[in-house]
Amino acid sequence: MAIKTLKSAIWGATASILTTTVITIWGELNAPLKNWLASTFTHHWLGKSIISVAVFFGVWLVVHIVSRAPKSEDNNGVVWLLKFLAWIAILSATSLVVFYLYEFFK
Amino acid sequence: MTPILSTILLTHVVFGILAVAGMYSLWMMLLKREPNSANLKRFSLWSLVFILISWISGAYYYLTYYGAAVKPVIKGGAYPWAHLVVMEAKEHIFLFLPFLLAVVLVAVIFSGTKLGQDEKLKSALTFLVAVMTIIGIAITLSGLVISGAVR
Repeated sequence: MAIKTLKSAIWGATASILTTTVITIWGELNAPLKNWLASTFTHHWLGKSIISVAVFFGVWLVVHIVSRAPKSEDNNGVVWLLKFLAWIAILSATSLVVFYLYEFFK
Repeated sequence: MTPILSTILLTHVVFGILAVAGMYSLWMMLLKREPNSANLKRFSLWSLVFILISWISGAYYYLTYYGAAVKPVIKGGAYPWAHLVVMEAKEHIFLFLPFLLAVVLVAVIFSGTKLGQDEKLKSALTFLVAVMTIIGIAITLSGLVISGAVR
């Protein structure tokens, strides 16, 4: 198992989380997007689920193909990316909670 | 609710709790000076399997029953925020967990027995697993709030 595979997986998860967050908030603010998700996938949440899986594997594959193999087994890049993914998860989860609180109280 | 739907809802809850318990176990294992590589792989794999089962069963319940029978009751009741804030946030933040777990599984497979010797990598992975576990616990508690709002 190469560092390249792990880095690609981290980018895939990061892209998936960001996509879910953006299309969720955007879909709430833009009815045509939510309606498109509902009509295409039978339900908007099912659409987001399918898109999140597709983005995860799609980005994983693309990053794995286009990125070069690291010259050394240095883990510094992986360490940075793992922390980056954790912060993306924190900020995305917080954004969704704050957004739905705002929508409720506005 | 039919017995089949009750079983599916129970499956969603039980496997979700098992997945979160697995995440918490991973967190505690990573705090050890020399984490057991085989146990890390085993727990991350089973947690991923459990969250996928919880995802599929939860999706079936949500799409076939919750929207039509539960959501209107909560929205028309004394605690509409239980759906409009808690459920809306929960159902979307839940979608982060399978991918975070997949990354943890790939990371523990990749690092193998080196994790104990690489303090920076272990620390970064511990941070990610801690974040994932806290999100998992928050989602579990959200489920309790939503169940309480229906009664």
